[in-house]
Amino acid sequence: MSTDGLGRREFLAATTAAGLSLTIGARAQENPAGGDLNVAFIGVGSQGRILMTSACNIPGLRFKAVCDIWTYSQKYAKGRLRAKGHDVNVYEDYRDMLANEPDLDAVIIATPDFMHAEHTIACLEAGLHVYCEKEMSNSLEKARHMVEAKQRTGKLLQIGHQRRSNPRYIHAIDRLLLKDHLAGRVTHANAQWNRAKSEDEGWSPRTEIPVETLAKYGYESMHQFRNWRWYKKYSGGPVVDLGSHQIDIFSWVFQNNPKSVIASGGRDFYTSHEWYDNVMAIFEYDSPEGTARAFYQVLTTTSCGGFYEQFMGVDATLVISEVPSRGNHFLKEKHVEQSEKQALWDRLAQEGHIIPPAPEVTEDKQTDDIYVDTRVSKELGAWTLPIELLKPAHQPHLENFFNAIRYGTELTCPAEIGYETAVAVLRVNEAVEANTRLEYNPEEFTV
Amino acid sequence: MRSLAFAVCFVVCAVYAEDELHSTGSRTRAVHRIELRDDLGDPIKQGYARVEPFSTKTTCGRCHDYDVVSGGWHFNASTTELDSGRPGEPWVLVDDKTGTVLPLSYRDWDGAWNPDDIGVTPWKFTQLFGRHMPGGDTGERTDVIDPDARWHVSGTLEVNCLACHNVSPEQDQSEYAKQVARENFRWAATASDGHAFVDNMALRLPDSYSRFDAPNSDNDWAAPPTVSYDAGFMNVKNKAFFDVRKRSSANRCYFCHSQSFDEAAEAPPSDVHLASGMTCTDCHTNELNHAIDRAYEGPASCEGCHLGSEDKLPGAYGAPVPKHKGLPEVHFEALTCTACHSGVKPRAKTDLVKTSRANRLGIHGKARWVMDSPQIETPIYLPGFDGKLAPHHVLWPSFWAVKTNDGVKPLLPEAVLPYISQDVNTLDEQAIETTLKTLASELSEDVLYVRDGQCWTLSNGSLSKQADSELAKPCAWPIAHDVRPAAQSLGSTGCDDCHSKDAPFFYGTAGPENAARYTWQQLDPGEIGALEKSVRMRPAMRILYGLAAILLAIVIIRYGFIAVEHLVLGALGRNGRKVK
Repeated sequence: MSTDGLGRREFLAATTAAGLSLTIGARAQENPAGGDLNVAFIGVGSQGRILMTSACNIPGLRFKAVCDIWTYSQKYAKGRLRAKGHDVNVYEDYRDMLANEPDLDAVIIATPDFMHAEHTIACLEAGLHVYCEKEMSNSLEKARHMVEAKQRTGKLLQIGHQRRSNPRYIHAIDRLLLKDHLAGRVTHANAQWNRAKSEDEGWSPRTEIPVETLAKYGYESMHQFRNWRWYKKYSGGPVVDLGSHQIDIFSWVFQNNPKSVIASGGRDFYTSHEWYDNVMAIFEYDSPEGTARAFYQVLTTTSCGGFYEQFMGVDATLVISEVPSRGNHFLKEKHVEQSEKQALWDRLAQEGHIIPPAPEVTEDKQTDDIYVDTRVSKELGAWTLPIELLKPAHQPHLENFFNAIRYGTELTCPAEIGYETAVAVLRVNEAVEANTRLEYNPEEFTV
Repeated sequence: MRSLAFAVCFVVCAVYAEDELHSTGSRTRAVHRIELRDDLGDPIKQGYARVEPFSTKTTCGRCHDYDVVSGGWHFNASTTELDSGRPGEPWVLVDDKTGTVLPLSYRDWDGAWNPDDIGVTPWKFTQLFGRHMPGGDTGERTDVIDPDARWHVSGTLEVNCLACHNVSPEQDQSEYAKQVARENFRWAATASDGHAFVDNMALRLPDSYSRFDAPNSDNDWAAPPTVSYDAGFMNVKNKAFFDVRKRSSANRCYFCHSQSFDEAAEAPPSDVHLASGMTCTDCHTNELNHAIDRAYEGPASCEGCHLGSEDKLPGAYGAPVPKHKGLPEVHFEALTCTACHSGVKPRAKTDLVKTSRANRLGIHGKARWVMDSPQIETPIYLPGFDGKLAPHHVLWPSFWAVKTNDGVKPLLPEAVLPYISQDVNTLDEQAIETTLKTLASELSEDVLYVRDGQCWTLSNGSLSKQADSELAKPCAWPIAHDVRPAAQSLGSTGCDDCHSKDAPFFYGTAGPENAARYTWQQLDPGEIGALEKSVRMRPAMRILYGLAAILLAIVIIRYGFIAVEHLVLGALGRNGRKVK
């Protein structure tokens, strides 16, 4: 397939629609121009292990080193990588790793947010390409320094908003929402991440990090080290931790950054934590088609509804989630059937870009017995997205990063985009604290 | 050699150390009220936020040397270089969808494939067979590089001391098997001992799971296993009572060593030894090193107890000394004791036997666990390790394989399944040819198929069948149990039990081709016929021998008198006067 005249996203969308995008990485890596890459991990806690599991599926990567301050995680990672055929050196301090591993090409960073800048900047300046987990930082100043370091060194910096590389999201947003305008003008968005109440992360006394080591790396206690996401010193709390994935998508769909946010939240359940355990926020956007508003909530005491994003247009609503069972379809408005837009839906269905609902099986009943409440609109028909991601959710994003190193393909979430999202998301906590509507200055989003 | 000597010294020292530590000379059983510890060695206490399953390695191992125990026969198949001994029952990899029946053993036994050679890693082996393993062995082989292994999620399957030594009727190996199926290896011993409830499945956890992670609050389906100990199981000092004893009861052995026959089979209702009050470990003894005496030779064998040995008088455990009155000596030279005394009585066609480990007996639950495959025939009398005919269980392997530089490598079911398009049980030769061609094309290898004692290959693009392929030969292992008493043994109703026309012992059929048993015994039918005739002639011969004996006696008496007369007359002189 020729990609002439197609933008990156169009190309991706087109190929995913044909079920081809899932093999892009594999095919590209067969290209002899792309050699093997030497890779290290900094931070192999719960998120680092998820990235490690996905990265191990990608051919052509040689894992050389692992860095973590917890010996339990060091052993865990070394053992897992050994089982996958990689013999890695283990370090506690990233500086030792950078000094002793001269052959590295890239590093994957999954440390607590407050350390991202230090780790990322050091690696970039050591000449390495960096994949850094979101949030870029819990401090905008640090995040800005990361972008500056990336621009200064000319190395790649991919931020871990992995939905940006998910072929389902690319197809639904770039192709169907933005190119084909399948949903018409998108006026509202609604997203949530609700998770059940949970216990704190634990450890065994035998695996406890010595107090002096914790202090050396900036932690006050083992509990804070294991539960850093709940503490202001280390993280931005749930709305940053979880919300940034989805608020990032708002900007993608509305093709603009928010212009204001109003939010409410509080530390109402977990008395031993610092960050807000529930937050509700409303953003306002100037989209190319007019004003749009987006509601977002993160709750940590109920899993009701789980996590998903909805983009509501006048003709249809896109319901999508990283877990397809929670959202993988467009809900078409009834009026579309009587308009010329129905032809677009039919064409896209015919071309395999969307799957129409199965015909209803109606039983031959006597109409006398059927009561229709005309005050309630008929349920919208669900048109399913045709793409299935057969890989772990983070793998395409990592593939995108490594393909960018090898072949110069474009990153789907470079540092600049990650920074824009950080600006949007970190302001939510400020809005909760200020208990008022806060405006964004468009210049804030650029470095 | 030095390392072997060191190992022996280590074991001996450890055994003596154990004895010194615990033996007071009293016959009173030690009460095991002990502190539970998890696999990291941390104590398990009531009310702790992190409730872990107990570890036998750190709980039992505090007093009993775990390393010594785990070198025992039940736990050393994949790691030992000791003599494999007489063949035993292999593990059987069964997959009905691909028609795979593959006997496996780490021991060097004829007919069984070494799991290492065919891509069955210790992780895979434990997944497949951990249900009927007493733990240890492959369940702890985390050192083997295997990308699919999930030890970090499942934990290891430690030696489960309680599986054999727990006297409590609550010990539930069926629950153990269920936990293994859920990949809850680390939790299996705790779940099965009857004092705890284990929920959830390690099987559902992602590869990135770590034991210290809080439960995934986004996905309660993939919840990590949890343990709830029964109230009262631990006392105020957090010590728990285990009703354990050194000598295991037969009930504990049965879970892995049961066998079941069709109702029509002439199986003894019980092993005569158990009926007389003995238990398995009376003969299959061991010390702390758990080097179980397999008892097919030596002091604990049939001969050892019933006939005595150099250093042991006969009659151990009241074993009667057999008379075998009238039984020609050749029987003792050609047959094992078990040939006449063990297993089901031979019938015109071999019986099918299900065994715990091959057919998954003893696992109870909503799902059906018992499998009809593999089909194991019994008894077939084959020459054993000592050349004597012994009753065997026999199965015929079935598998798809690729030819390699070193020979042949059977394919595991998951490698074949994508290319199987119909029920393998009804595959005719045309379907076999089609499937072989597909496999050859997809795998770019020379392939073959083994089933029912036959081996099919592709030769110049067309199917070729080989009946005498070594690959297709059956896998057989001698049996000893159940032992029938003398009154129910072969020959107890007379020589005709075996030496008669159509006697099942020689003329019954076995195997996929229904070959007569004498062919498996490697005997000449002519010789067997001559034996039968001799047996049939035996009454007449007895009369003949009797008459001959009488005649001989008459002759002896007649000439005896003459001789006596001559002697007397010689002494007295011809005229009757005493010679001076």
